[in-house]
Amino acid sequence: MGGLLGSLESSIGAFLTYENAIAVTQNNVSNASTPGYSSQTATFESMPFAPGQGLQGGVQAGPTLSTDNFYADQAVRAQLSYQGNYAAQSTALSSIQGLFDVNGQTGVLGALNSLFQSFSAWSASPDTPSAEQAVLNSAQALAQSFQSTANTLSQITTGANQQIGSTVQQINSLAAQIAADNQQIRSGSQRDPGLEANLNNALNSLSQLTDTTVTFNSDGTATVLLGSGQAPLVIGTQQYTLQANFSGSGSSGNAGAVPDVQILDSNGQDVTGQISQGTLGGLLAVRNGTLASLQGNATQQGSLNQLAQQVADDVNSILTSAQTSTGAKGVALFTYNNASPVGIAQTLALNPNITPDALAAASPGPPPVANGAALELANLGNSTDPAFEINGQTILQFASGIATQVGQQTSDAESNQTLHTTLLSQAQAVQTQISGVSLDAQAAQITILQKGYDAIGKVVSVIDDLTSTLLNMVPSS
Amino acid sequence: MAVGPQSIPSPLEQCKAAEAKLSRARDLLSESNPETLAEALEECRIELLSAVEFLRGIPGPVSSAEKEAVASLLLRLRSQARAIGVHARHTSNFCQGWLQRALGTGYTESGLPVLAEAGPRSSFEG
Repeated sequence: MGGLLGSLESSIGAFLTYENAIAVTQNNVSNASTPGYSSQTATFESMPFAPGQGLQGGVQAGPTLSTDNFYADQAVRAQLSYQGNYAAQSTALSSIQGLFDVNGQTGVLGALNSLFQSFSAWSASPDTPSAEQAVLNSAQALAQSFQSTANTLSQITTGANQQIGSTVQQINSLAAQIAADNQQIRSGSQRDPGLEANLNNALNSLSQLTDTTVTFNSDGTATVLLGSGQAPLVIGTQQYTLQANFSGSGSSGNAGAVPDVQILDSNGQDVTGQISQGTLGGLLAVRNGTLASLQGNATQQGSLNQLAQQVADDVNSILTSAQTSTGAKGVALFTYNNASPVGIAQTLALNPNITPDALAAASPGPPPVANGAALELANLGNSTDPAFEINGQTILQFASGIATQVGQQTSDAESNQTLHTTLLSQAQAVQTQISGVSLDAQAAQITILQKGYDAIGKVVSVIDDLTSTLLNMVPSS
Repeated sequence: MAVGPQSIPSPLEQCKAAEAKLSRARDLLSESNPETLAEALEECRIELLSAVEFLRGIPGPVSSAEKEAVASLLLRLRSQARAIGVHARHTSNFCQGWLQRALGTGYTESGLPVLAEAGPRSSFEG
């Protein structure tokens, strides 16, 4: 009887094992649309077969294996980081690009062109009050354009700071969630596909915000390091918080300059340089890169201030060296606060003391030329006189270069965003192929098994009939 | 060396051969893993068909000396076959119930289950 019962137990065990296999398949189908879920595969282990010791062999369910593929996940996370970076850059740069019209019709470049045109018209009729007034109007418009651009850049900077602060908070929140998931994984007795899906989702969301290095430990917990791996974000159940510093490092530099944003690790160390991707990487590139190059920071004047100062200084220099038609010495057209090199554009203004008849069109010579100064001003934009150039470029080349550079950066960011959105889709498709759940495949697998059992049942009924017939033919005595 | 005429297996030998096939079929049902389960089921079916052939090969007359042993063996064979049959039917129903539960969208007017249509693939697999 022991043998019979043993066989029965073995059969029951085998049946329960297949029940578990089907339950795994069912779980896959139920979670087919769960983001981050990796298809699970049931495994089977042989049970010891030693009838003499009461071990009937057979199979039992082994640990459930996830088809989750680390490299596919890593590729998706990398593309999420790139895409987050370029999406953030693209959005931020598009608002800056609007300030710099590469066609020279509007903005600072448009106002600059208008000023040079008014100089040109004035040089043709230097004593005409309307031409003189047109010069003052154009100068006023240019000063306002510089101020307006500088103020808008300042507002964009404030907005970027807020976004950086909010992104850092989101990163800390996700890191806390990952640490909590690690805690649950560590305290669980077996793998939990739902928990792993949560962890994967959190890692993906984090990748979109910043570049990370993720490694998995033997206990299933994830270690997350910032960037290429110098600063930790999560190790085991320990979270390391980041902090955004908007007040600078305290080092001296241009007075009144907006300091670059720093990202500090949990020890207060500056880890800004380790962040190059994700939304945070993109925001930092625009905030500490593009915006700083335009409006200046502690170490640079900024191209907008450089342009404003050069135009104002050149124009003032020519005018104050010239004479009016009455022989009076010319006065400066522009004023600005020279307390800080980074505040020129914001404070550039039309000289409040200038009047139309104070505009000095004549160069004193020798020989004196009645419209000499006006002509020099009309040609100032394209002057290759080193004294009037900025970094080896004419004023108009430099101004146009700013617009071109911002436009190029915006275009690059948009192209890269499109490219990495496509690459992200490809990486996700590969990930789905490896880890995803195909309803068709799962259902087909079960259907094949069902047909197999059906076929066995039919043959067995033939055996049942045959043995019954034979038993009738061979009656026991 | 001359080969003598091939002896015809006795009913008892045929029954024992059929029992060996049934035993193998039962093992296949309980010792495969999910990756090879479909193949194992097919092999199991073939083993059972072989058992059928052995049973069909039992000649009509059974000697009185073997009668009791053959009858006893046939009873055991029938019992084993029925056990396999219960296992197969139960698992077939289980699979069908699973398909209905996982993919069912309802029933036709005649009460037949309606399964969900397969959705578009999100991967490149065939």
